[in-house]
Amino acid sequence: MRCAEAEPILMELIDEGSPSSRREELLGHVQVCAACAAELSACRDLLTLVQADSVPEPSSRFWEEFLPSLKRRIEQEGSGRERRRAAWFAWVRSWLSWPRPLVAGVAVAAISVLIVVRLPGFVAVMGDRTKVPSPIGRFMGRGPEGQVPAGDLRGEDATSQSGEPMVVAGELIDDPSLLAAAIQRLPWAGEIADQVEDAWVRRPESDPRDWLNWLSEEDHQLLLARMRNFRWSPS
Amino acid sequence: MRETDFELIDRFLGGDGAAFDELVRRRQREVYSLAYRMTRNAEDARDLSQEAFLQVYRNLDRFDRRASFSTWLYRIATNLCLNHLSRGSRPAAPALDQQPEVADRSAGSLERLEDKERQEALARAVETLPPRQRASLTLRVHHQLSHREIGEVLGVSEATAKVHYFHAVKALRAKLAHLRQGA
Repeated sequence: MRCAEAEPILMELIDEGSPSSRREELLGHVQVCAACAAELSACRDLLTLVQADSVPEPSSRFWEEFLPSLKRRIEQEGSGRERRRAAWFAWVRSWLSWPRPLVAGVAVAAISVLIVVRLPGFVAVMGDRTKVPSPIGRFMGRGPEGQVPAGDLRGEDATSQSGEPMVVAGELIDDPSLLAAAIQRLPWAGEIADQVEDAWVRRPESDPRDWLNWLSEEDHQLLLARMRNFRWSPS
Repeated sequence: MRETDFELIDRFLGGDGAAFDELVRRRQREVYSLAYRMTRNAEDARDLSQEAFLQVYRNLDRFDRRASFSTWLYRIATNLCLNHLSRGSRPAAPALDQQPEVADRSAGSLERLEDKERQEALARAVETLPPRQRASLTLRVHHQLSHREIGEVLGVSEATAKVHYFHAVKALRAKLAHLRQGA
């Protein structure tokens, strides 16, 4: 076994939940390779440090108050719902106290406006299945006409050349976790960040620009539309 | 004999509020611990852990029991923490009602100071991890969930959960390499 094969799976020797089919081979390699043995030792020390990371213990008063405070929130939420329901019924009753012809006229007018304004757009979307957003599109929203801006985050519009470092919003991206972290700061984009990260896992030697190729064209355009504040610039 | 979680849930759904109280008492520390490690803010951890139990209260009648109650609760708490982090979290605040620190001049204080600095460096490094990696690391190391359970909590496959965890360790290893070199 070579170091290049051993290094990505060293953690499986420490992580008891990951039995490795190559465990014996890996152990044999670590016994003869000082670099991998040192890396394994460093990971063990790190996990020991992580395990020792303790949570500052709140006072006993904090725990005495935790359940009563939770129960107060439950009661407040229950009474809040009751108040909102009562207010809604009062609002409806106030309408019913108007003369009936007036109530009927207003209702007809409201429904007519709804049909005139909303139905054409609804019919167009139903008729054209290409405008049905992907799961990510539904989550992130689209423009008023269903369109997304043209452009390509993957390099055709970029000023950088292949081989140059990838810089996004002034930050050098040399690890997928940084790109994923930047994307995840956008509240809607956890799913895309996961896809980017998974792409790197499958091909860690790949160019970071390739990670974005794992997105569908539609998701890529949506990501571009939302990342308009990120600039593609050479290092 | 101690009631199981499902027995407590059955009792609560039958109208016994005290059963819900018991569910909370059993899990409040671990939920708070998870929320604190995710947010590094005691006030946020308290609010998020209470919110988690509030959601449990609202949805217990819809819990389908395909997973354990513990996994379901972790899922709710973790998702609340991830949503909170995606909205931008506050800077770390001291723990609630904590005693003020006093200078330590006793024997071994230098070693304790170095340990404290290492822990602080670790805490800062963990805060820079992407939220899902932070969650995987916390759930694996501090809550001893299996990768399969972590996958259920995060709504990803077991393999992806494992990847998040290994990436977290690798990232921390890179960020904290200077500590080892100075040792």
